[in-house]
Amino acid sequence: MTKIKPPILIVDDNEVDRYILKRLIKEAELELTIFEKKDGQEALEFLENYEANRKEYPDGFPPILIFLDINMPRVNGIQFLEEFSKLRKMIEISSCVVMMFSSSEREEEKKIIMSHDFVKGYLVKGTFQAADLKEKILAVIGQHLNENS
Amino acid sequence: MNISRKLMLIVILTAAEVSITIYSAFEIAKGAKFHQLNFLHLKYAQQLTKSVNKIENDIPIDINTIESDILLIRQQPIECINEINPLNLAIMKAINTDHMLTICQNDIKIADKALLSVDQYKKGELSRDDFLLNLNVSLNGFNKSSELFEEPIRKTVSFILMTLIPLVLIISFFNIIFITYLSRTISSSIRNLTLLLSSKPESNINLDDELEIKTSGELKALVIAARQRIKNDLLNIENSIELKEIINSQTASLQQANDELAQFAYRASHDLKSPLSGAKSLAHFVIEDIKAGDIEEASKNALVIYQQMEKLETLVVDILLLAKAEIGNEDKDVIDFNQLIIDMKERLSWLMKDNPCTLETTINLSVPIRSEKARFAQIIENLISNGLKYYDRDKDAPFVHCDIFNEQENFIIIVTDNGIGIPQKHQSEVFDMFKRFHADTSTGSGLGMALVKKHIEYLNGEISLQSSAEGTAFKIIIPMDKLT
Repeated sequence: MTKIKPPILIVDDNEVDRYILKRLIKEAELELTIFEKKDGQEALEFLENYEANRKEYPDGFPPILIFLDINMPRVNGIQFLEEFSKLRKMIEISSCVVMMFSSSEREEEKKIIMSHDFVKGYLVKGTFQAADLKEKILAVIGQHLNENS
Repeated sequence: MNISRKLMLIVILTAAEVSITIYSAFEIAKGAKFHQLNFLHLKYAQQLTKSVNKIENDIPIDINTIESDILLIRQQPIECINEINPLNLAIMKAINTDHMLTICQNDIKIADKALLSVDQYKKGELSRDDFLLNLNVSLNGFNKSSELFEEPIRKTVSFILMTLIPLVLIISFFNIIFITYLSRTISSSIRNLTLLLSSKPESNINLDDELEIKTSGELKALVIAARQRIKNDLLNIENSIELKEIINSQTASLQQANDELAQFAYRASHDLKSPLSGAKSLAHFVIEDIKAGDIEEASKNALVIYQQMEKLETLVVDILLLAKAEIGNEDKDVIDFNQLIIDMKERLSWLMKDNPCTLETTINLSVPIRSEKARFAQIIENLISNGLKYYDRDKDAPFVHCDIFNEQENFIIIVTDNGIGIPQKHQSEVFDMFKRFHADTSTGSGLGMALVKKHIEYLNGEISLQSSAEGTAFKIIIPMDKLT
């Protein structure tokens, strides 16, 4: 039986940041299927297209974890969270949680962001190594990884 | 005639009416008094007659009683003369009743003669018979006087009654009519003024003229004073409203500037930090890759670090330009727009190299433009580079056109493209700092259009945009008076 790699989604307009995150995940030796979207708009479209994506990625949709940047064109991280909380009521993605992945640490923003109960963590870009990332990811979605291992 | 004069006239008329009435009453009372005096005169004469009779009948009598009786009789004509004032006299002369005075004077003379007789009799200079004779003569005189006195008094009193009462009635009547008239004119002028003032504004274009014609005296003064007062009050209200507005707008613009600055600081620090932390992580990977012997991955990441640093440099330069855009620079020169375009194309060569857009520029200026060249270079470069960046891959002949010309009092730049356009909902944010609307194109600092806006604001100009899926057009209008 092939091992199922739990799917995650990285939403960040900065290609370099996406690369860094992917590489740190690789270094942490976490077996994950990684989707990438360049802003909140693309990410929402990806999630909204639920039925088609389920068919296309039978084991890889919906993602169980979203790494979300805040400063992005069109739909930013905060706007995405608003839309995502509405979306959770309509489609079956309530097991999906969010981990913020931003270079900003503004307190008032953080307050709004952390008020969503599905936001499970806040990573500040450039402040963590592969080991830290592994710990955080396992804390949030460890059960999925264990089930499959 | 003004109101206070009218009121004064009413007072005078009323006073005259009242005084004439009172005077008439006094005069009539005086007539009654004359009758009373005459009655007394008769009574005392009667008393004297009794005394004289007693003497005649040899009844002993005190001579002093006779003397005092005469003195009492003498008193009435004296009082009568005292009562008569010059006005009475004039009236009596006019109606020929002034002989009443002569009657009184005669009576006094008769009394004086009688007293003289009494005196002589007392001294024994006069016989009893002579004395009685004299007294009887005097008594006759007194009675005659009383008889004669009645007629002129009656005549005078009736004359006074006949003349003064109608006079009082006439004056009262006139007074009533006049007071009614005056009060009517007063109330009607007040009513007219009220009508004039309460009329609708549009039906009264010339309120000032109307007031001038229709009002006078105190009412006019009142209206003028009221108007002045209201005007001043309105002016004060207007002034305070204006002041409040100024304060409000200044507070609002300060607030906005403050918010903008806070936003700017936040975004600038974010956008500065982002490539730095990215480069830091990448540098860490490069070290690891070199250690692991993966030179290909290492050099790939080194290149990315280089690009990140370039991006950072662009951002820092743009932030500095933005800061400078708010400060006036005295270096004004005639701008050679042809050269400016050539220089710009050179700077944008990296962007134009693999770009399918045709860039066309037309310059049509009838007067030289004197201004700070850097501002115009930045405006035009930003607009054109945006047009080039966001071209539409699905269109056959992508283009960017830039037209620079002057028209009447304005200098105009129009940059048109047939690119992907700016979504309607984001059009209001185009000139905000750090706004980018297209996920795929992450080049640029997000400050370009904010910089354009700042320059145009500095030059008192306006920028507008029209954008759809067909493309985008920016139009900049700058008044010429800033550019010569």
